[in-house]
Amino acid sequence: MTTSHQEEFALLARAAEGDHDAFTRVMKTHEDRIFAVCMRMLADREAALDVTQETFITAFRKAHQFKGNSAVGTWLYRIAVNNCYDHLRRNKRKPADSLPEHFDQADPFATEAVEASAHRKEIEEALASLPKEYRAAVILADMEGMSLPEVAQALGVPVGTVKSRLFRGRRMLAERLGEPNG
Amino acid sequence: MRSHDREEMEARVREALGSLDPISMSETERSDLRRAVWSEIRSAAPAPEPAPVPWRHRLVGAVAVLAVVVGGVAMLDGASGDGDADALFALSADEGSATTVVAAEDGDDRSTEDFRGGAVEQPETHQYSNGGGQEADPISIPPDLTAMLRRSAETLRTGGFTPLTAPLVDCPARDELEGLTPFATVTVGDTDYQAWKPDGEEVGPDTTITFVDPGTCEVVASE
Repeated sequence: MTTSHQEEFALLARAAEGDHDAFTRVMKTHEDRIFAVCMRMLADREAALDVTQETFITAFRKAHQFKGNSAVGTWLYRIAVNNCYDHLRRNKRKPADSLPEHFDQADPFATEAVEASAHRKEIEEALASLPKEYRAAVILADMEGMSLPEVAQALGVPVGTVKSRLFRGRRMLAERLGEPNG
Repeated sequence: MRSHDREEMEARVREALGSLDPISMSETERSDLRRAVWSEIRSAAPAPEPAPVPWRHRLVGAVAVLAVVVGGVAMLDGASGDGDADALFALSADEGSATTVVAAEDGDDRSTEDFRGGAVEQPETHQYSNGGGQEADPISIPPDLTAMLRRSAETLRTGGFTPLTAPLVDCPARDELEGLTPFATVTVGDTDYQAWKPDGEEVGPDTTITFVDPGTCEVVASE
């Protein structure tokens, strides 16, 4: 456990004993990243704020269960992703309905390169259209910069499953963004 | 898909994702989030257990009541009829039972310690109050400072502390702080207790940690 992990572990331990200042420090450290993950998962700001709130409430109530087997941030991501899954289930979103307009089903292997700055909206829509399990893997690995073991801990699945979901998620994104698929 | 093509595809996807604007909350959203989180936690917490009265206080109280009762009986001894004596007897019997309860607890401090320890295990029960519709102060004094500082000491020994950054209260020289050096603060309730260690010693599993109240400069615990 690195020094920063030790410090965060200690903060969470104090939070579990009722130290509100300690938990507030944990919140301040992670609230933006948790919100960003929820926002990418749900593509809805109000929903993302609600789920972020649920995540920290759950974290406070379960702080005494945290054993330090992962980083505090990874643990929080896990709670957040599970809450996002629950939210999506409750709202029965159909992400496949939000394919970008320029997506050409007749030519899925278009070789035209995508200028990311010019197609941010399409990228966001393509990300939102992924199955939630693939989307979570892509968000955590490619946007939050987590390692494969960290993503595996956050998602509660083996590393091999993370690799598979990442590959499939990226391939679907590439197809929907008009990237060549090899 | 060939390996090279796959790597290229994944690189372009990561590049596309990396071009998205970073997401963060506004200050208002952050404030609302924290307020909502604490509001929900407080509203869900059960009413706190009343802080256990130390057995010494109970004993003193019971002795005081007994003294009054005995004094009253002595005063009425020469003049009262049976009715008054019976009433006093009933009263003293009640107080006697209270004294007996105190005595029983007096003989088992450990059970009281366990009770206080148990209360600490459920912080929500003592941190918040939602009874009677009163506005709760979330930074209330915790019911068992000693137990919480003991746990804090364990955490400090494993390195889980933030080094002192704020200037310390200028405490006058005290015998009990001689040979000690402050190295961290521990927040319990609304007080930032100073944690002191022996001079020149690195904090380790066997380090005795002394907690000082910054307001009074008094040693509140030594763990």
